[in-house]
Amino acid sequence: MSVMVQVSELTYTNDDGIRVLDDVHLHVEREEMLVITGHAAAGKSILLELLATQRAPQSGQILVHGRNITRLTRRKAVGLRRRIGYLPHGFPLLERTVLENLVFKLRALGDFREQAEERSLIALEDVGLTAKLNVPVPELSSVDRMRAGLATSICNEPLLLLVDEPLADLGPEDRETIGSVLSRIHAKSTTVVVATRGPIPAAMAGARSVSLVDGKVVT
Amino acid sequence: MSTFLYVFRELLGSIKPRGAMLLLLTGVLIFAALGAFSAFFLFQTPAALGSSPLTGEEFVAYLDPQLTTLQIEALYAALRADPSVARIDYLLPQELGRRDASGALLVQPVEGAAEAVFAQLDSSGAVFRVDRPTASGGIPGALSPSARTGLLVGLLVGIAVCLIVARFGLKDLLQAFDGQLRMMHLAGVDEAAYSVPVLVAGISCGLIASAAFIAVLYAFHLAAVSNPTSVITLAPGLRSAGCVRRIAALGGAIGVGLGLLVGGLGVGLVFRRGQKPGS
Repeated sequence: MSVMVQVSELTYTNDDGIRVLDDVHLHVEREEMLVITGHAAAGKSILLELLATQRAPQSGQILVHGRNITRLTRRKAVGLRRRIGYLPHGFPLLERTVLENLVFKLRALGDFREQAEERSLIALEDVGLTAKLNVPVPELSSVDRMRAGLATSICNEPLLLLVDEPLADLGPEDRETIGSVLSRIHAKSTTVVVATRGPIPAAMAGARSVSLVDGKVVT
Repeated sequence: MSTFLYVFRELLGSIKPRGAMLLLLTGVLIFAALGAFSAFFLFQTPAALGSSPLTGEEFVAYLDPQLTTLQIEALYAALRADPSVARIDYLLPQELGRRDASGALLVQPVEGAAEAVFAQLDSSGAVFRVDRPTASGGIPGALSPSARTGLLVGLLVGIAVCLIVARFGLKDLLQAFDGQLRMMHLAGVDEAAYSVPVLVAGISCGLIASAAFIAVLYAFHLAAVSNPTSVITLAPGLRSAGCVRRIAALGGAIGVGLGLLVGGLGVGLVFRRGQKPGS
């Protein structure tokens, strides 16, 4: 297996001068599933934002899919984002039906309508939401909204999926459901990195996990 | 449908009434700015427009009410046969809206022959009044210097207000389109795919305002030409096709330029949103 994500000596200080990430070293193999745990404000979200090229690194090195993020031009960063499915915590979907959300993303990426609908249906099948494809997002339950978010993130078949707090605000049963959805996505040769406050659902028990403590990665 | 058209349609589809009203107001302000701009040229003497006095300019000769139909026809035929007259039209008293004349002749002399034709008409005894432009700028409708200054200040203030209103309108539009923008940003959609439609939306404001301005300008021009004695002729430039053409071209370009400025403002707002962490 080759490396999908390689983080070395990564340090990040927030606007308040607090060192959120301190000399972080991390690697994720291709087609691996990694769970990053840590308490609230441990820096998990910032780490995922950095990996997703949504935030500019301050120091250290981040390699994603063989590209050094710290040296990417704006244009190349946009190109890399197409290979990364990123679902931030609380990401608001459009107030449309589930299918329309996915179709919008794919059409904006250049797909024709038929192609976009076809790929959307495949993604919805992967997350088990085919039965609710025509339901408006505001009418979905929390767990189905998370499924819809995951479907939106994977509909363009990214190589790397980064998910921030997918289990927050969910009951034990729903956490297991989302855990098994993530495992299913991982099983389809997608590298998955999940950040969560824990506990890790049984469906994701096979995943490697690391913790972020005081800005450092603890294995 | 291309990505651009798809995103453009989505952008227009997400616009809320308030944003639509503000962008409409932006178009109206651009239209008003173009109107103020055109006044500089329309209310000028032909000399200031770059042509020599009288040359190629029409004037209206009001015919004596005592003239018989035969005398009018003879005068009309004589002037029509005159090589120094480029064009001549007869206007009925009803068209003039006045009873103290047997109608009027709308005469356009050839280059350099204006003075001779005017003198000929004056000495014919058949004409009791001639409305003609003069080199001294003494024609009705010429702007005074203070009016010109006021117009210039009004124009600049109008443009500034237009850009402020446009900014509010664009912010409203982008607020309504925020979900789509975030999704496209996260998905790695090419920045041009969502910034160009915003730019085009801004240009459209200027383009529509320019088109409306040109249509109104030509409507006034046609009215001025077909009825030279109407109030519209207080703006002498309206009777000159060349002048109107120049104003239309220049006004159209300025309108599109202002639209481009509005669009650029929108693109700036899009990028500012994109640079916010987590957005």
